[in-house]
This record gives sequence, structure tokens and C-alpha cells, in this order.
Amino acid sequence: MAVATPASAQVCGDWNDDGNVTAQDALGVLQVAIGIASCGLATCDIDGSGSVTSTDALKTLGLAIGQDIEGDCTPDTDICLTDMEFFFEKIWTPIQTDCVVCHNPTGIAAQTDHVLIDDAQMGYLEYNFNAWRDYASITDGKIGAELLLSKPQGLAHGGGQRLGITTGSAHHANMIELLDRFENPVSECGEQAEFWSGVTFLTNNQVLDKAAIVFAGRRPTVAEQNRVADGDVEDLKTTIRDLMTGNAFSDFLMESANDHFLTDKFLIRQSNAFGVLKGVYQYPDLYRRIDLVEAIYGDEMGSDAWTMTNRALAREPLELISYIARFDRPYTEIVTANYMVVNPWSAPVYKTKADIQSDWSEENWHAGQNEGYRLNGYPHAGVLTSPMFLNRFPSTATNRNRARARWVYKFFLGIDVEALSPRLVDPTELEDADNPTMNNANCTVCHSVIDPVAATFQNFGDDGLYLEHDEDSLPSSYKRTDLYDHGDRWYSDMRVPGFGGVTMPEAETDASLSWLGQTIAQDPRFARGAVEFWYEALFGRAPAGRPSDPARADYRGRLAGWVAQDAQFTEIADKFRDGTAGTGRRGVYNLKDLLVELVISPLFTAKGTLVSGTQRNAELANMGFVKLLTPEQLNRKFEGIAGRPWARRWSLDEPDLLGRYRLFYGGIDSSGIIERADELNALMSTVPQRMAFEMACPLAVVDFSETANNRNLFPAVEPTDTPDTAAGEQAIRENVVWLHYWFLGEYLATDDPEVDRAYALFTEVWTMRVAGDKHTNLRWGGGRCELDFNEGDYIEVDENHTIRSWIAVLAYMITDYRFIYE
Amino acid sequence: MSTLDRRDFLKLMGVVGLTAVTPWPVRKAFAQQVDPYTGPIFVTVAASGGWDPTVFCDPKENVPGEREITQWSRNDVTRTITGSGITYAPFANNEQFFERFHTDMLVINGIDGETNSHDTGTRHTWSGQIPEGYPSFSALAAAVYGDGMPLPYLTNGGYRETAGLATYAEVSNVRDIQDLINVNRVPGNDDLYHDEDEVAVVERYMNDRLTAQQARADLLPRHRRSLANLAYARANRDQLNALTVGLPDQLVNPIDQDGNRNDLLQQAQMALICAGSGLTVATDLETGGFDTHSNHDNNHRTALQRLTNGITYLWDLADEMGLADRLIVLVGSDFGRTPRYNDGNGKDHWPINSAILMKKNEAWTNRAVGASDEGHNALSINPATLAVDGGSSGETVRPAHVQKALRQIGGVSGSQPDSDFQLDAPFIDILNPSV
Repeated sequence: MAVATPASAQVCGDWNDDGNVTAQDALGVLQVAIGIASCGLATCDIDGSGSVTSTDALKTLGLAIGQDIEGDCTPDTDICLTDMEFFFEKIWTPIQTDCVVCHNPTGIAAQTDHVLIDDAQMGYLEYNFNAWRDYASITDGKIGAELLLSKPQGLAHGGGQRLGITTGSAHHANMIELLDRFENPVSECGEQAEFWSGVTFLTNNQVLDKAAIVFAGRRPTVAEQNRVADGDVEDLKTTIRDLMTGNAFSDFLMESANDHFLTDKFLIRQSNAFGVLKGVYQYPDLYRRIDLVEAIYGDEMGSDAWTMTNRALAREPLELISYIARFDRPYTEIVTANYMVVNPWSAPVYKTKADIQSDWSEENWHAGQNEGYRLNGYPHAGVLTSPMFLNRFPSTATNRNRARARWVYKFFLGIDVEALSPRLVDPTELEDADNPTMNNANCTVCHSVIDPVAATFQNFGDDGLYLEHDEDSLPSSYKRTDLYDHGDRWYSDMRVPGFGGVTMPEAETDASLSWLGQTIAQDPRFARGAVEFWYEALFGRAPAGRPSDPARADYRGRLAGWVAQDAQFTEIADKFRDGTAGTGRRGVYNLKDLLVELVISPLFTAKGTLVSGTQRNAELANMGFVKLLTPEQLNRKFEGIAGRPWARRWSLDEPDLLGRYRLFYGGIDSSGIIERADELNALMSTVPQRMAFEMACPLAVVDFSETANNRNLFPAVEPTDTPDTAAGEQAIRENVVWLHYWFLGEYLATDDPEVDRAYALFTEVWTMRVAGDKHTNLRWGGGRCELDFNEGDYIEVDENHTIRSWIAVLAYMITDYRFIYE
Repeated sequence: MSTLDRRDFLKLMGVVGLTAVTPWPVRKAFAQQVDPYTGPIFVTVAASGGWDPTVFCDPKENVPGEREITQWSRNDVTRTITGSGITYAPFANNEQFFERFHTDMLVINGIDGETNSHDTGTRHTWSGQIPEGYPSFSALAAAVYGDGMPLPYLTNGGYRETAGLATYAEVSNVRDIQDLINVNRVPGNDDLYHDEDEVAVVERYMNDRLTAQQARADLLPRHRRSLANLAYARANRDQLNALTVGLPDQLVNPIDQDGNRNDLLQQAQMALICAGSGLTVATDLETGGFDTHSNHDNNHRTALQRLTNGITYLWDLADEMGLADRLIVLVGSDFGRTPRYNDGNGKDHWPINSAILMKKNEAWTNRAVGASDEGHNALSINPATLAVDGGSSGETVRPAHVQKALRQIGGVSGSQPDSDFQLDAPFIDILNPSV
């Protein structure tokens, strides 16, 4: 895939420009150093010293033989840029992204001759390039080229001076160069290197391994592996998609969504979901089923009923997403669904007509209408009308739903409204008392975008109650002013409900959020927003942002990386929108297919790089699925691979990674701690080590207590296999190979150096134990085994010291980088 | 239990060339003996949401004929501390706070944060720059002083961009820390899971494998970074044992002197325990409640009380622990609040801000620098005399100046991270005690 930036074209050290750094290049650099050949600093000044010397030749040789040397070649400022490349790098990114805030079809400069479109629109680069070219060609009545140069200096410009542009600034010079390029186009710069050139990728089976861990919390089955190994990319897509079932997938979806929505805050007793619904006045049947259970079965069951009901109420917006995915409904229903989802515990509260009220299962989710609220006609628009979502993002009398609008843009359209105007032009303008959000350009930059969407939340009060005051949800402080007329639903001194320059029809007043949901679902940015939302869910990090500071040394590298990412996002969003994503058989806006596309994209499958150096490192900084597993993911992986959770043996349903160590291991509580750690620190690193030390013994004992064909961990070896026989060594090595795959996803041969290492570990521990004549009792000899030996028919004596040696190998595996990261 | 020692780790880093290629703080750490940290202890206190300096350290009184700027000035006047340039509003617990600490503080007023966006304001205040990617001061200090330390940077929220200089940690619950410090010990007794000699063998092989993983030449940058972090974390976790001395059975009751739940108390306690154990250089504390778009005075009063009570507890405990002379504190917020009340009796976002630097026994304290007018607009000051200067030589104080001053006070100026993340602001002689 070629991307619109030349930043990766030159490889530091590649003297002969053949795409690789070899010994021949080192010789070439040496010839340059002694003056008998020529080469630019961008290619041959490896150490960035400003000249090419014999040191650079030595470093080139180091690069050629695979040493990890950083190439710091001086960037070539004279590098050829095509017109579109120049436009993207020098005009759009640093300049027009500021202009487009007002100069867009719905912005406050929409009535001028200078209207651009934002980067969420298809073909925005070409459109905006042509917009300036056309504007520059105006000579009738005004001179367009002159205005392009003078307006951003603040000369007769409603937006004042922008970006500090003066006649002496770099931006000004770049605009002059663009005008020159309109007259003298540069369309070719020779052959460009592809961005992904030199990047190595996971095999299809390795992709499947990772996808299975993330979506299913387990390794692939043999059948799944074979289908992928013997098949093509379509088989890979189908197999990945088939992983997306069951509790592990639902958990993945809901954890990911909660990282944004944070509605799991209401799982906590102190901030429970009953409080969100505001008691029996608002929801008369709020406690009906709990009271019934308590009356029949007693207090303890009543308490359980309370917990299950609270969980059902709190989880409703997350379960909606799970429901949409599981039943292959269009993802647009996240904002358009004319239903909510309920289970047997929440259905009585909402008085849905779903026929599940005699059931007890928490997993039995159905669609239904909220008829439990004290008023009839509760409107539904997916997450937008969820009481939990609305309460998690509350409003105030002066905020007037603007925060909610901000999150709508962020979650569903991928737009950070606050970033529209990170820096004020004139701070004192904020003192404006003439309704500045309507009239002051410094404020309307954001408010013209936010406020119409805020107004569509008009029917919901600050805490999320529908028509809180029966006829409206306006605060009494406002209703006492002259601005209020009886019957108003919204503030008369704010923008009316709408979106994207379109005013909501009057007839939609009772269901304004439904109108908003339907409208944004049709917006071209919706698909792109979904891609970014689920990229962050899958990768555990936000997409790389567009670099904004050209002065930074890594600017061009980061820009190239961003462009490559952007190209992938655009492609995936297009497929998501038109129904060709993934297997392409489940219609438009299919979430599972979107996830399949992300997994098979090079953003995920990139594994390594054959070329390094400062520039290339900046380009690839965000590439590859390199993720520290969250506590929840590590818990699923551990249980899926080991066959049992890491938990106290008397409370196996309360895994330590979800309880006592969750926050230590970078997890969130959705209340005060809402950002996950994405890298290890010293304290975090002790968590998997404790897991390994506690669990290695019970895992080994339980597994060896099974017959060989029923074992997960030791299928190729018996406790009688010792290193002092050839057959024993072979069996041990074969099982080490298996463990490297099973725990670490590595495909190794029995003579691989890593197999040698694990075998050596086994042998060293075994030798120590034999030589030291250590205790052979597995309950307590050589340390406490965290296993209730009375609960099953377990091996208790390690006659050959092999089980304890395998325990050491298991601890080694469980603490490995490849186990705690994916 | 033994883990990879520093000599091994240095060797490991050398093998894979990390000393030359990563921005992580691995270079200096292993050329020096790492004893328990005894250098400056940095604490930042974020008043999140955007505080109102006009009811705190940049008091404004109502001007006849103008719209009301502060309700407290209807019946009261600005308080001035004799012999100090510091003034404060008679509001919340300000009197208690400023009268006690004025000799240990430098108030910086009239800071133009240039934004009214929360995200941008937070970034600007705590990194000194508006563009993304600049580290928080705490990350910078952790990089300079925290090489080889397991918990150099603690955070409780707020701006915590590290720019790859350090990793941060959240440490809020002491009950389970003991079990993590000695991972081979059975909880609740002294039994072990594995013989110590076998644990040593396992860890040696773990680290050998990690070395081999890092030595691969074809690693993607994210792989390289993650492996380096894992190696760094493992190499330094033995030092966590120092925490066993200082850890209480439970943290302080989080109810403050005014009867309010105040998370700053436990945050401050953990910060000082970890710093006192020699494990931590910098901690970010955070308290919210300042985004008072409605009912400003009541809500802001409560938030300010929490803030000043929390800072007071921090200094009291530092005194008690013998750490007060090492403590350097920066108190700040996203931005300020409008100089007028809105229809909901609230105040909205306003870019003009203040900050307070605190340290004991310094000549540059007991002063206020920077200025704003009666409408809380920033005034330019002369970079040398610090007097208000509307002329061409006047400079507007910006967050970068505060951050520069903190870097200077903290001995961070001139370091490699300081050089790598230079702050773009003309010089203003904020710390000169003679002006």
C-alpha cells in the first residue's frame, strides 16, 4: 500500500538505494567518506553528525550485519514532494485544519467563498486542494491569491490572525509555494517506497492465536488451526469470526465499551443503579421482584436478588452492545435501537413485555420497551436514552447537556470537539456578555457544533430522567426567567436541536434523541468513529493522533505513521459501511466483521521490521498488536490455558486478577480510576509473578494426575521421564515445545535455542533436587502447594523430582513477556 | 529472593543497544549505585476542573458600575500578609492556609493558559506546552532522579503523559501490597511456595530469556519499549522491600477537618510513604469539584477547603516523617474561571490562571509574582523587575514559565530530559528574591 507521504522513502544507510542496507552500502559510504563517491546526508550520515565519515561506514556495516544501531541520518529538507504530498504536509495538516473549524459547510464561515471539508469526509484532501486552487484563481472583483495570504494574517478577517501567520512566517512561505505549485505542478517524484516495506507480519496461524486469546480467552482448537493453515484469508476471516461467541467475547465487548462509558460504576453498592433510577416514585416496580424473592426465600436470597437486579440495570447499555453483536444486528442500533435489553431481573423494573419474568438466568437477555417509568412513551435511541448512560454523563443547569454532546461526538463519530479550538485567539473575548456561545466567534467555534446536539437531549434532565417535570426537563432557575415560555422544551437563548447544520423537525420534539441517533447513524463519520472506538478497545490504546508540531524531530516519521493508520481506518470504515467487511455476509455495519477487519489489518499483524533508525522507529511507533493484557484479559487467558482460574481455592469464582489485584495490575474501577495502565511498572510486574508462583504447583499436580491423553499441559511426558536417559530428554523436549506453544504462542523445533533454555532450566532444578535429596511430598515438600489435595485423586509424591522441575518450568512460562503481553 | 541485579541489567541493556536507542531512563541508572532515594520529593496537586483564583490567591474585589466579580467582596476586603506580596481572598479556609504557609510559598498570578478547554488546559498547566506529547513535570523528574527506582512516579489521575521517560504507578491500597512485595510467601504466614534456591534458578532463566528477546534486531518499536519496561520493572522490584518498613496496616481516615471526604489525605500519605522509603521521586495528587458552572461560591468553597486541607495534611505529615525539607510542591489547575457569574450563579471557563510553588527555607518564597487587572485579565510584566509592564519589553506569564521555574528549583534544568523537552518561553526572572 502506498501512502501519501515520502517520509519513508529514504533508508538511512541504503547508499545504493536498493531498499536494503548491506555490506555493499557500507563500502559505498566509506567511498563517500574518502571523497570518491557521493551521497546525501539523509542517506549516508548515519550518526547525524552533519558529514559523512568513516564512522558512518562502520555503523552502516553494523546495520548490514543486523546489529541494533540507530540510524540518525539528517533529514533531507530538499526532499521532493508531489503537490498532494506538499499540500498534506505543509498546508492541510498545519494550516487548513485550523481554517476548517469555521470554513466548513455548517461553520460560521459557511457563507463565504472559502468552504473546506473536514478529514472525516471522503476525498477531503483533493477537495480542499481544489478549493484553494479555485479560490486562488479568482481575479474578478477580488484577488483570491492575495486574500489567501492576507486573511490568516488577520487582515479583514473575521477570525483574526491565525496561527501567528505573518509575511515572515514559515506557514506564509509554504502558502506562497503552494500558489506557485498551482502554476507549476509537481506530480511525480520518482518511485516511492511503500510504507509497509521491510515490515514482517504474523502468519495466519499466529494471527488466529492472538485473536483466540482476545476474543475467546483460549488457544484455537486443532480444527480451527487446520482450517487456517490449509486455507486462505477468507478462511482466516471466517475462523476469527467464529471465535466471537460465548461469554469471553461478551466480556471483551462489554469491558471495551465500559472503558468508554464507565457505567460499571453503578455495579458498586455505594453508587448503585437503583440510585440512578431515583426510587419507586419514578419506577414504581423498582423493588417488586426483590421484595417477592425476599418474602418467599428470606433475606439472603433477597440480597442476592438485589445484587442481580442491580447488575442487570447497571449493565444495560453494555449488554445492548453485546446483544447487537451477538445477533448480528447493525451496529447503528447503538444509537438507533427502539428498544433496551433486559434480563429476568431488570424486566420487572422496566415492565417490559418480554416473557422472561418467570426465569432466573442472568444471561437471558431480551429486547423490550421501558414501560416501568412513571410516564408513558419513553423514547428509545440505543445507548443515548439509557438511564445509566445519561446518568454517568450528567448535566447541570449551565452545562445544558453540552458534556453529553461532547461524548456523542467522541464515542460515535470519533471527533474530539474540545480539540476544535485548543488555543484561544483572544482570551478577553470570553468576557463577552452578549450571549457569547451564540454570537462570539471565539465561542461559536465549538458551540455551533456542540449546542444543537446538546439540545437534542432536551427531554432528559440533569440526572437522566425523562421529562423530569412531566412536560419538560428545564431547570426551575431558567423557568423563572423571562426567557421561558410555557410549553418550551429547550432554552430560548441556545441553538435549537439539530446536527450538522440540519435543524430537527418540530414533529420530532418528543423523541429528539431518536432523531439524533438516526441522523448520526447516517453521517459518514459514524463508520469511522466506530473503527476508532473498536481500535482502542482491541489494541488497548487510542489511535495515534495526527502530529501537530512540525518542529519536533520525529514529526515526519509520526506523520507517515499517522497517514498509514488513517489509510487503514478509511478502508475498514468503507467496508464496514457497505457491508463488505470481514466475511461480508452479515450486512452493513456488522461489528464482528469490523473486528475481523481490524485483526487482519497490518496495524495488527505487523510483527517486526527489517529496517530501523530514528525515522523508521517514529513511523512504526504505533504499529503491531503489542498489548499488555488487561487484568480481565489475563485472567481469561490464564483460565483458558491453565484450565483453572488464579483464585483462592475456597473462592474459585473470585479470581485475584478481578478482585484484590485488579487495580494494582492497571485495571479501572469506572469511578475514580478510569484509565488503564498500558505498560508495566515494578509493582505491577509482581502480580504475574505471584500468579505464577502460586499456581504452578496446583496446575502441574492436577494435570499430571490425569492420564496423558486428558492432559492440557503435559501431554508428551510422564513423571518418570528424567533427563538422564535419551528417551527422557526427548520426551521432556517435546513437552517443552508444547508448553512454548500452549503458553506463549511460539512455534519451535525441539532443537530451538529457546527449547534448549527451558530444558536446561528443567535439568538444573531436577539436578538440584536429586543432589539435595529434597522432599518429594508435593503438599509441602519444597514449598506449599496451593491445592486442596482432598478434593480429588491427586499425585502426592514426586518420586523422580520431575513434577517439581516442571513446576519451575511453568513458573518460567507464566511470567514470560509473551504470556502477559499479546 | 534475588532478581536481576543492576550489573546484569546494564549488561543486558548493552547487549541490545538500548543505552543508545531508547528514551527510557536506563543510561544513568546503572552507572551509579542506587541507594534509597534521598533527593527532592516532588508533589503536584491538581485542582481539577478549573479553579477560581479570584476567590483564592489572586483576589478581586467588585468595582462599582461593573458586573460582580466576587460575592465575597460584597462585605469583605482582600487580605494582605504583612511583609509579603501575597494576598488572598477571605474565603473558604484561605486565612488558615495562607497565614500558615506564606513563608514557604511563591504565588504566581496572571498566567495566561490560552485555552478554556479542559484537556488542553490540563496539558498546558502540567507540561508547560499546548501541543500533545510533552511529559508532565513529574515524569521529567522521575527520569532525572528515578533511574533504577521501582516507583519513581506515582499518579492519582490528571495529566500523566510520560513521553516515554518513565512509567507511572497508582498505589492506593496497602492491604495487598505486602503479598506483592514477597511473591513467594504464602499470604498470612511465613510459608513459601518454592524453595528459594529454585526460585533463584527460575529467575535467572527468566532474565536470560528476556535478554534474548530484547536482543532481536527486528523488533517493532512497541515491542522494544514493552520489553524494556518489563526488564526495568523486574530489575528494580526488589527495592519494593523497603516499603515493608513504612506501610501502615491501613491508611489515614479520609475525612478531613471540615468533615468532608478528602481523597487528598490518603494520596498524600501514600506519596510520602513511598518517597520516605526511597522509592519515589514525584507524585501527582488530584482533587476535583472545581468545575463550578453553577452555584459557584458554595461548590468552590467546599472544593477549596478540600484542597487546602489536603495540602496542609501533606506538609504536616512530611514534618512528622522528617521529609518536609525535601518537599517541593506545585499547586495548580486547568485554567481559571470567568470574572462574571452566569445565570446559574456559576462561573465558566477562563484562561487566566494562577499557581503556587511551595518549599521550605528558600529566599524566593513569601512572594507573589505576575499580575492581573481588576477584571482578571493577565498583565504583562517586565522580565527583570517583574513589575507590570505594558510596553514592548513586557512579557505575559505562561504555564511554561511556571514549569521552567519548577525545573530550576528541582535541579532538573540542564538535564537531558530538560533539553529533549525544552519549554518555549522567554526568560522571566520569577525566582529572583530581590525583585
